[in-house]
Amino acid sequence: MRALEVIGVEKSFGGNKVLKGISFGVEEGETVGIVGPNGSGKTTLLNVIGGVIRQDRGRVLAFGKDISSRRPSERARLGIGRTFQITRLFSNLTALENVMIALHYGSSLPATKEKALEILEEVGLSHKAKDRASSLSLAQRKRLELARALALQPRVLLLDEVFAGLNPVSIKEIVDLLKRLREERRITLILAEHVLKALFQLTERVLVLSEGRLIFDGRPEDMAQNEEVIKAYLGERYVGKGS
Amino acid sequence: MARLEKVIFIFFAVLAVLPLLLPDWPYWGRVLSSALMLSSLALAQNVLLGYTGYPAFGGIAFFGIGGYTTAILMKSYSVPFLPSLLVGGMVAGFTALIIAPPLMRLKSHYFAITTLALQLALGEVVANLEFTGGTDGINLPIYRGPFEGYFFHFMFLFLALISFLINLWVDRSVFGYALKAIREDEVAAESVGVNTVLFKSFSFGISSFLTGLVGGVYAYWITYIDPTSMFDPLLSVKTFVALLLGGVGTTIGPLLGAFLLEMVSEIVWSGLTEVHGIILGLLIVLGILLVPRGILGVR
Repeated sequence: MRALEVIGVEKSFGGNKVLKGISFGVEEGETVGIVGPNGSGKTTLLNVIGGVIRQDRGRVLAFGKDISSRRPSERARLGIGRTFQITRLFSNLTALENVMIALHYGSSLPATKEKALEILEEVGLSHKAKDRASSLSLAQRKRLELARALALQPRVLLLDEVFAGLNPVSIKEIVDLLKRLREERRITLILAEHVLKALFQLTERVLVLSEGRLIFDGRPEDMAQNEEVIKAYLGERYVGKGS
Repeated sequence: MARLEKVIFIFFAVLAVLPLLLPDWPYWGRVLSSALMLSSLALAQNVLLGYTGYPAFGGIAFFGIGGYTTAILMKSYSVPFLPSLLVGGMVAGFTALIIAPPLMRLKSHYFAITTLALQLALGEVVANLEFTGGTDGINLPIYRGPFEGYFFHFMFLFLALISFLINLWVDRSVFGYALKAIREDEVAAESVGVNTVLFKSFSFGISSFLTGLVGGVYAYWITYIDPTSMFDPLLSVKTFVALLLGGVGTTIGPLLGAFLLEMVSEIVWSGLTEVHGIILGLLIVLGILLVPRGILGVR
């Protein structure tokens, strides 16, 4: 079954058309990377799927269900978890409380401290359980956001630049964690990402956005040969010169 | 339960027997009732500002709604006090619940100013309506019955206790965690399954229900209400000063702040009537400088 289906999604902010008729589908258990230059619409697309931003036109389906007009909280309870480009934690609450809130409201699991601790353990943060979210380092904040999303028992996980700002060691740890999650729970992963090296370790399929249009949908190794992609990243005069 | 919170229950017990011990009761009764009333208002506002992050600077609008509903029911329909009071609180609470979804799209100072506008506008409306008595206000009967002389002390004590218990519950409950999530980050709260519109509205409703009850008891206590006294912006200011002085988002802070403010105000008022305002103003400035997060504030 298709985990996600985006059909003809358009979105404008004022006169600025940010998404110009985006359509694609994602199979259950698949991992898809969304790349593109800054301002190409990656985050807006994730926000439309997550429900934070309502599209002007088009539809979003999750597991065959039309979720286009559902609140973000409903989508979370349907199993769409997410992280944010700039982490949005409950800063004045502890790491444990951050996870417990997600357990309470987004998950069918009974919320217990033990369960929340297990999830923190899974992302390697159990030693920080009692610390305030605001006192964590960037890498830890990213992990905590991941833990919070995992508490929803998500079937689809939207990750917005989860590797940005992390050192190679942290990146590898998160790549390994995501691989494990995908194997153990068959979670569908959708990553908007600039760190291509990390992304290509996870995915066989990449979507490239440029100025709100979907210009490429295919294997990572074909991406660098694609004329549209070269034009979007490097400019017209590099087209046809090889890589 | 934290030790300090147990102390508060002892404090409530002491306040309950105080009428038997204090020699000059009519005077002290008035002072304590004022302090307990301000405590209840601050605790009610704390549910909204402290736990949900929405400052209803015009929350006193619901004090007015509760007070007027109680007074009109008693005066025009001869309904007994307690049922009138309950209806007063409920009208205030439901009004808040209904206006919350559009109103609470605004945040921080925008929300604060809009609620203040609501309070002032409601005052004007009430002043121009017939069944509210217009600017003449409403005279209520004087209370005669059991515990005469102590009745309002016990009523305010009861309201403060209820408000305190609700704060304790919000502080620890699953419901309260949803509010705290909203206070910290609404988008994130939605992303983990919290229906923010629903929970914000309930928070506003509970806060306004309590505020409405306080207004109802106040109306019966002073026996005469008019738009100026029931929709008084100064009462909003006092509530916020008490809350900020004691500590926003704590269970005990609002109580502590209200008693401190009311006691100091009383001492200054009786001793230094002419510079009363200056000294209170100084106290507020000092509070902001020395304990910007309130005496018990941790955030």
